[in-house]
Amino acid sequence: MLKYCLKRLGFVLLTLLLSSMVIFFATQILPGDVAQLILGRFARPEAVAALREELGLNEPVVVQYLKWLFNFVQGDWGLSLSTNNSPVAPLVWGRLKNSAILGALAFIIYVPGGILLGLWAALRRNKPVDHVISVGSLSLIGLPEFVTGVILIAVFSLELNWLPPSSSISPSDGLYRMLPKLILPAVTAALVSLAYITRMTRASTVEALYSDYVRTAYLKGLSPRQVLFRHVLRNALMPTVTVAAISIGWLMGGLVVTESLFSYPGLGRLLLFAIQRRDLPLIQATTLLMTAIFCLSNMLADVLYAYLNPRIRYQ
Amino acid sequence: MSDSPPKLSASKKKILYRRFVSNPLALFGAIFFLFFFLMALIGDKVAPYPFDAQAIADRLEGPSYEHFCGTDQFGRDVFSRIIVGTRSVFFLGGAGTMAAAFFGLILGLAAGYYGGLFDELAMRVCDGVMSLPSLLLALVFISLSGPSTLNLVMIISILYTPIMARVVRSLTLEIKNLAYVEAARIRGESAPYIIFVEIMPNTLPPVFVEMSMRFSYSIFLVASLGFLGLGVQPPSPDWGMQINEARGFLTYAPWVLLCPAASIAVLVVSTSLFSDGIRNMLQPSTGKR
Repeated sequence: MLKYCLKRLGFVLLTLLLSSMVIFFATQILPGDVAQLILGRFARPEAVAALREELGLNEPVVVQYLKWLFNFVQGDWGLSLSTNNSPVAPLVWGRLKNSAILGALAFIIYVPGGILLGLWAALRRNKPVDHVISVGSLSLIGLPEFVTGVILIAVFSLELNWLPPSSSISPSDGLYRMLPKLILPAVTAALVSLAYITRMTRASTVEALYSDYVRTAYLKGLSPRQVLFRHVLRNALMPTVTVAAISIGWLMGGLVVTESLFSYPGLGRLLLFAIQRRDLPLIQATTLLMTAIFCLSNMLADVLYAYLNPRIRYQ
Repeated sequence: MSDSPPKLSASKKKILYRRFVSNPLALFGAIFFLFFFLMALIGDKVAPYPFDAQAIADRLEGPSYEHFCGTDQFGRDVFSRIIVGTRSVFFLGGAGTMAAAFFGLILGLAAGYYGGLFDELAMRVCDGVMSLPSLLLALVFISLSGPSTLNLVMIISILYTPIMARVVRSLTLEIKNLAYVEAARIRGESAPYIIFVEIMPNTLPPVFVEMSMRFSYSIFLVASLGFLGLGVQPPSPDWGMQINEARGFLTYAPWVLLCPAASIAVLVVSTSLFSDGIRNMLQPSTGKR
């Protein structure tokens, strides 16, 4: 098991190394010169040349990449171009904390919610409840966060006036003051994954219910409750657990849209800000961090699956 | 023994048709999907107003008989903008998905048929692309290359080629060992003939299923990029952009926002119902019980 984990971790590191190359070289081929970008269009050529020298832009690209990577690994993520040359790292970590709070809240909404809805639909399969849940989840899977988000805002903020439409929290806000502002964005970010987990759970539960071992369990006289908890759930929830782990990575994409819709100061909104300002160090740091989270969540899914399903481990 | 792949007989067509029609949800989805498709083709001709006709005097008017969905902040007819905007959704998603299917087919067939180092390399690259979050990849790509139509189509095809290639490759691995392919090889057919005439036709049904699914995802992606300001650029109408612009006056003119949101919802839901129907029609065994 340990060997398997290490192998997966090695794979993650390799992926990260590759994506760091992609990110770095992609940002290098941008038209325009970084030194010029920092100093502005009307800077004197000597000043630009001096800054180029200072930033090491005259060195070969590979040397630049290795230096950048070396600094990055050590936690020196460079200076942001658009926020008065403030260091990138503290900015990004602060935003990551906010995103993590929002993501965690979404996670504890959609995982139990999806499992319960999926089980309910599977146990009442082909009944009206199942049809409603199935069509509802199929619809929600395809709806972008900003569509569900604006509908939620329209209903719960503007019509009912229960929750605030914008979630611009400040660091001084305690959890108690933050919570009302977090509910709408968390639900918005949760809906796509909620629908996915619901469908996943329903499908695997239905499969388990039709399996031979469940029939055997019934025939040997176990009560429906015993069959459900001892035989159906154990097998049916295996795929769901791994999907729940992968979905942490999906949240990264959803949070970009959700945070920008609700003006929530998280990592996704920071990335969008960096993209709009063409702030290269900030783009590099946020993308690489989000990619890392994505890869780690995939790894977690693989490891969990191997842990739950011994057949995978010994291949 | 005949060389040509068996033609769909009339009775088989009838079976497929019945299987599709017997699923009311799929039929419902297909009807709405075709309606939107029609709008994508002729939307600019049937729209009641030009999509960019401004009438400052009539701005932010509520829905009425003249303006089904009201008017926006410049007095433009929201309904016309939605109808004209259909084209970019279909074009970007459709072209991107088709390009992905094309490259995925070539890559998957070649990797599956030849195997070896090429297969290994191609599949590792595919894994690499699939291991990155798609919206993130699209955001970075578009922000670096600029939001032109070509770039949008390109990023969609880059995102969806790996999954297509994987599907085609696994099918190719299965099919290439079947007796009829073996027969063709013994007959002395060339590799391209075997790949394109013997193997490819049998990989197409799952590819169509995958394409219909990817198309509904691409609507999601295109709309999200539009919302973030990185999609189709103004003045061309784009649903995501319309929603983004309308957020400012959601309180007193909700129709400007809710109408395009509803169109995205209806198109996405009908596309996925339609795609579900196609899957049940072509691969009934994988359908739900």
